[in-house]
Amino acid sequence: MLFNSYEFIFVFLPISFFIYFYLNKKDLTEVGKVFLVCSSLFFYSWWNVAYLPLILFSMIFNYFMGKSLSKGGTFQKYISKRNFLIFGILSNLALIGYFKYSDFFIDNINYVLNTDIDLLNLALPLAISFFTFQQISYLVDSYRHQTHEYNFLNYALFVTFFPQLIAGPIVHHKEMMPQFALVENKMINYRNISLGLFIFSIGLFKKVVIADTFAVWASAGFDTATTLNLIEAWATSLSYTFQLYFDFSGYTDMAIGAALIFNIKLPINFNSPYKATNIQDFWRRWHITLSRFLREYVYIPLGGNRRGEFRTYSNLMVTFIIGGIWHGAGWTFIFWGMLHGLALAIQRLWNSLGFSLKPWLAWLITFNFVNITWVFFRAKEWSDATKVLRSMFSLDNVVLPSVLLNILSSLDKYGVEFSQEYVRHINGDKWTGIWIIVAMIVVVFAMNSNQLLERYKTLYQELWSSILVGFLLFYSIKVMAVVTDSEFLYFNF
Amino acid sequence: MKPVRNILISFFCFCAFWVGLVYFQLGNPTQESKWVEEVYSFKEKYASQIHERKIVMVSGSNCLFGIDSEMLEKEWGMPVVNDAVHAGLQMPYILYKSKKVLKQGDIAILPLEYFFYINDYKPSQTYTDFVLARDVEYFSNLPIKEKFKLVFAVSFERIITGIRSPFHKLKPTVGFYGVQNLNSHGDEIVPYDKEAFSKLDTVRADVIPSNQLSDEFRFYMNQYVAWAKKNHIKLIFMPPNHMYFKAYHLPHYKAFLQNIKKYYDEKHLLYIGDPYDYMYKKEYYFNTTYHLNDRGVALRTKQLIHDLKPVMATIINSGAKS
Repeated sequence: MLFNSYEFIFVFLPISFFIYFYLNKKDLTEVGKVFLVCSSLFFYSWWNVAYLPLILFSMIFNYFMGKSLSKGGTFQKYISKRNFLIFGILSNLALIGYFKYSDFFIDNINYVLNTDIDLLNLALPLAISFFTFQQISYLVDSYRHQTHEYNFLNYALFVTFFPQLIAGPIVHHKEMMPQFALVENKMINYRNISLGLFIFSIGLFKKVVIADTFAVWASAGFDTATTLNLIEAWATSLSYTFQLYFDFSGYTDMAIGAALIFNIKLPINFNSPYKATNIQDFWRRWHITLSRFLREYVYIPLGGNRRGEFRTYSNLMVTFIIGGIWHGAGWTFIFWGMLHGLALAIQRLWNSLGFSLKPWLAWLITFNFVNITWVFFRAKEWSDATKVLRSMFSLDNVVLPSVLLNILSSLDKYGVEFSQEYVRHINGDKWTGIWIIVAMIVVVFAMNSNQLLERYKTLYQELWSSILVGFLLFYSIKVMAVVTDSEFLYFNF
Repeated sequence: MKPVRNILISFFCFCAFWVGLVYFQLGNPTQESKWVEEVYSFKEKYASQIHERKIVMVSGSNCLFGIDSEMLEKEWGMPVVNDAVHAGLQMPYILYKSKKVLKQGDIAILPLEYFFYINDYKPSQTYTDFVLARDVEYFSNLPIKEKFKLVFAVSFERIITGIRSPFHKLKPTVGFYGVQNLNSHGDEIVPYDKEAFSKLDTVRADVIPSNQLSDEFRFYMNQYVAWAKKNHIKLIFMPPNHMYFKAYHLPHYKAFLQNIKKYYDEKHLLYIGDPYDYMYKKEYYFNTTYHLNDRGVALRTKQLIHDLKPVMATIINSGAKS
């Protein structure tokens, strides 16, 4: 079920809310949790019930692994605790590897060894990357004795809680369980509902009004256009840059909002990433919970920056290559991760040499680096990436808006063309440029959702602020009536 | 509790205000819907005057501009009504309208536009405009969920147009689209126009996001097929005419075309014709990739007659049995 669907907004969310709190009110808190787990599994199964056993199996397996790791068990007679943890992690990786990476490996084996092994063509189970990482972190936390909750029902709620089940934020066991246990969280909190509706409406607006608008131009530019002129190529890459941000941060806002209605505070996942002035800063602002996972469970265990300069750089590279692979089974993702790892290494070197840049120049370089590397992230094939990038940096095919003809007619002799349809290959029009400029202003200068939420906390009792939320919800729902239902981009990862 | 209540009240007030605006201008005729209304009235009147079995062409504008009904009539010896009007009205509404002219024993030929097969049938601007302005009865009879979707799909501009409409006299229909260009059977006859033809310079192959038929298409078509069966109307599905592009030979497009045929085969419905035989080069069109010029019409009609020849005599002689 999509957050941006009528079924979720008008049926699933209200029904889940009322029944959950009704059960709590009747002191049936355990039944309330069972209900929330069941409704979350229903939410998950809405797409494809075939994968329900998979998540159930994964959940049961990890629960018992974590419990054994934390409390100790008979396994310790045969295997060390550390090896038991490694077994648990490898089992999770095997599961995700089978479903997500089998065809990638087969494809590469076929290419290198010139064999003809059939691809498995498995459909990627929804949310597998998220619930697998979340449970790996649970195993590690159990190994470190950082989990203090061994009830299966609570564990099931931690894994399946529907606001964060599909695409995060990736949460820690220790930050969720106390919230589910808190008595006051079992009662309706009107302030939280108000804040939740506010942040949910912002997320919905970001998704259906902004991200889905950019999606049209990005998809046309990457997937269908055979040639792109200079403006079209930049419009394509920028459209995807904005689509991805508004789509994923919109999803996160909706997840945070829906969870807040149930009195659960999810960690923030975005903090104006496109305001970043260096690549390290970017990764502190973009998909924060994934960065946290990679830092705590990959980079630091590899040695972090404690084992000399060379190991630090190689650890950075390894961490980001894993980050790339996590997003998808393809060389373009690996390359994207490598580029980011390399950029972080260069930045580290740059800082150690004591160089600095003017903030605006640092921002410009960072934003463009991120924008260009998203091209690899988005491209389905290398050829799609090279098509867009070549056009972005080539002056062979420049078509400018015909309104500029009088001012720039002298460019004619350099082969520059003028046309009213200067963005036709990406199904664009004059609004394409306007949207890109406005989005740029918003992501660089406007307050982000977290800041707006903080501001709203002081204003939520004002009538006008309620009217604003009501309008945002109404307008987004109105837009949903005409735009094609589209999944969130991170559902694919 | 008060802020939550205020949010919900304001949300419902906005919704109610919007619904009120839509209802306030319901039935107000608009200029944009005028030609469609006139063309449908013309065709429905013509169909009502036929008291024998007939053949009805059902589709978007590919048939409106792309069929010589008189040639078909001469070939088959049965009256032919070209009931096609505008694909922007969307398939469910086009099928609904066809039910008004189809009678027991009739034959419906449906060369449906390709995007009908993959559409999710969120209300289009043409459809919302036409229904609100010209078909209040249809709107009133929609199921509540469909009505809700339609009301919320109306654009701000359309609301303003609808409110202003009673204060403006509608202009007579001019141009390519309209009753003024119809022949007696409902075919739109359009002379060559250089400016219109120049629009074809920028057209490209259709983008097909998926080669799978949409669930919504299956839903509406299944309903229609059941209705036709119940009312003893013979359905013949065919490929529409469409402008040829090399891209249509790519595996993605081929799979899409095969999936269309597969759907009809699985339903044991007649699907006749090779889609590539109905793809003509640019010179056979006059302003869009679906609108043929007179040379194109002749070519397409001959192809259609040729393809239907093996089955048409049997269907006509045996009476209609879906």
